[in-house]
Amino acid sequence: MLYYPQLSTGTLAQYPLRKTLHKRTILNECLDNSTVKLADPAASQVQWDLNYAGLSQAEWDAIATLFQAAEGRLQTFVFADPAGNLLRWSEALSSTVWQKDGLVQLTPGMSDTAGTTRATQIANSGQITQGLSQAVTAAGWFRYCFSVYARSRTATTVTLTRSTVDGTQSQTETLGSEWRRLESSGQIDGTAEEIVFTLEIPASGTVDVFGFQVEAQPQASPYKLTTNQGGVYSQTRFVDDFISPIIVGINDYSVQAKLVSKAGD
Amino acid sequence: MQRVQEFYNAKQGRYGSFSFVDPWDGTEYANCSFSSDALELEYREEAKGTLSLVIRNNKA
Repeated sequence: MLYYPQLSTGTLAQYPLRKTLHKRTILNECLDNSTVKLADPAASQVQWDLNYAGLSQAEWDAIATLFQAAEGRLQTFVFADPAGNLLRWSEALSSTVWQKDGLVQLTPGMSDTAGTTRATQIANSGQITQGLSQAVTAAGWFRYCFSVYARSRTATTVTLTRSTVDGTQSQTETLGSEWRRLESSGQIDGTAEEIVFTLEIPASGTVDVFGFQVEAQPQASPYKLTTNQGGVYSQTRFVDDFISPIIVGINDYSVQAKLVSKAGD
Repeated sequence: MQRVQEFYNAKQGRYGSFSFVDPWDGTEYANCSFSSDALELEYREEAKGTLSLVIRNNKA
């Protein structure tokens, strides 16, 4: 599988960037001034216009190599939306995209950091560590930041883990009664094409959590709610059959890359 | 910007209808739609940027 590359900074894009959502509605305007509408969800697309400046030779080579491998706009590749949250159903922890250990109990509707009641209380009624996780089908060797807001009425710890078949990185954090945004950032070398993000709660622990987020970058950006569509687009293509870098100087490239993907893939 | 995207996706562009309260005079229009099947978001930095959209009252 092909993957759109990260830059040496651990990000996929530079700002400003443009993202456009395209839908298709069939509209029939009748002689009696009424209209009939028909949605065409299969035609939905997302387009990104990425403008890069100051790319190194290696960074430009990575984009050019992907362009060659994809044969311009012919083949698809995986793109992690730089303006998105790679997790699906970031607040619906009862969704099947979240794998829950058997002794995890979820209580939604708790007060959250946004002043609403979208947080979830997670209780581990067992005598061993239990957790919930979500697998993301994306390049396992990218740098990711896994973040979540958490608190606990009684002092406890939680562990954030990023794991692939090539390795695991964990980080244990102590919680108090105030909301804290926990972040686990890093890179696991290898060739894995799936990465799993897990929150583990110790035996008899109870924590409130809100705003799970994963981004293909070193640090967390403001939280973005997701539902069925996460930020991983596996059917992405280049829009054009050409890509034209400007060589500003030695080891200094500027280039515009236009990508498009089916939405909801 | 994320919430606008979510809402726009949920309404499938100009297909869906929704209630909109005119911020100018507080009047609620019960049957409105987006006027375009494209929503362009310009991110200036992480999670911040600009977008513009036109909402049309379906009952003129």
